[in-house]
Amino acid sequence: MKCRQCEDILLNYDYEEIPEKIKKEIEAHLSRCIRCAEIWENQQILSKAIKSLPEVSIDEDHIPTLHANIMNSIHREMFRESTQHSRFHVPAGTFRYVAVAVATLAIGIVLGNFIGGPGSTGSVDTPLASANFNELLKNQSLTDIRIEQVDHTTGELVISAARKDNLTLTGNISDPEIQKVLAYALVSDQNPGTRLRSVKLMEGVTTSDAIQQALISSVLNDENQGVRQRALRALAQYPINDDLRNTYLNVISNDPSPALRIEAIQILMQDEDPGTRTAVLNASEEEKNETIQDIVKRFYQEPGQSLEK
Amino acid sequence: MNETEIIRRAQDGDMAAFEQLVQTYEKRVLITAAQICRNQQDAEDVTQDVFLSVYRNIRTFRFEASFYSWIYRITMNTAFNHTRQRKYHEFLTNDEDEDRYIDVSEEDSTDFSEQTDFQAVFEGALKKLSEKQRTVFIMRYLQHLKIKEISTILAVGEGTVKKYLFRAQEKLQNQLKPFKNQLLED
Repeated sequence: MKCRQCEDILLNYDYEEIPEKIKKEIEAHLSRCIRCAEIWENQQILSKAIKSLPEVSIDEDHIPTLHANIMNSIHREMFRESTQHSRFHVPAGTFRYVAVAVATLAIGIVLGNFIGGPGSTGSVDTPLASANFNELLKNQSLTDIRIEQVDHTTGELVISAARKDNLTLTGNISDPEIQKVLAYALVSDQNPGTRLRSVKLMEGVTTSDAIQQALISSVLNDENQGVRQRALRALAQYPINDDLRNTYLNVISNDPSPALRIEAIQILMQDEDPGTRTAVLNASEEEKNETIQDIVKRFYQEPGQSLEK
Repeated sequence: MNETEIIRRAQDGDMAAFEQLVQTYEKRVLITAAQICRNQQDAEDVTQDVFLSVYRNIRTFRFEASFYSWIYRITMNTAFNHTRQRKYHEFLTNDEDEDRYIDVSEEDSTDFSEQTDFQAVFEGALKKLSEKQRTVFIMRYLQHLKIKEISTILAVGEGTVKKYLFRAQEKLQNQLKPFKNQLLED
């Protein structure tokens, strides 16, 4: 037997599984090969160490409840999808134009403007600074939005997008019209990478209503957990108001990700509104995650204790 | 109806078919998650997240590997994400008992005696492996999968699996050195 064969067998099988005939060959090999003998000895040590670990047993009585929880979370996801699709998703095929109209109307509401006017197919590839976002759309939707270049020092950026024609926009993050394009990208672009980059750019902007509304929409509707989480962090920079408080409470009671639920709770810990404590306790009433239950308990049910010791 | 047919129906949005898949795999996913998380509550959270992920991505399943391999990979990733997050939150909430896991390398090995909690040392050593090393180690020694199966599930070459396994063994052995004689004698 060669070293390699011996090594393969030792790595692949528990010793008891090895047929007697092969065991003899292995033993003969081990008696004359120091390296393989060392591997074998180490394997034995590990094998005994592993056997010493307490057996992980599961309580099978919990499985029906677990099953119900799984199916509930999936039905919640279906509901989320259905609301998201009716607002932002642009399916291919026959319904595309209807969906574009619905999506455009929804984005118009999000941005605080209705988008109207006859369509134009002209190309826009010059600075957006003084242009108007509504003019830019002209009753069309932007697709395949990409944030091509960003200068983080100056805030200058270049965005490309497809309309009926190709479009390139240049401008500055401080420009409200550019902010509207980013808000549009966040709530409507199909590419999660674009949505994530949009959120990252929004993190430094805390004065734009369009961005705040887009962030809220993203936190509540984006299917990508990374995007939702980043949007939540960006939103945390805004002073808490009723809209934001409701958004965070919504996350605490509905978001499938425990990490997001914890972040939302932590944001609300800064909220001094007297009603927040009860609202958080109500929102986390059905919380199953022990860590979260513990955080809520420590902060809200035993007031005076902070997470940061 | 065979499994391929059930999966295809689930891909087309048939919830009854999807629920059948959940029923078939939930226990196996729970056991796998429990081996990584080491407690039932976390394993249940992971199992719930796994099936949510399966629901979100089932249309991308192309029948190139077995459905179980696909779910298994999602389970391993989700469980490790979960333990990462847990570690972060334990750090935030100072919940982790720092004395629970003993780092042998920081101790004077001559002082090791019966009172040292061997299990704590070993679990601590396991936690110090890189995620990839820990994954293959758990798959091989706790879940008793063969190198080939691990390679298929993780979509990496068998050589890579062996490399991770060797490194994991090497690190663990260093940590277990003080117990070597005791273990070989038992």
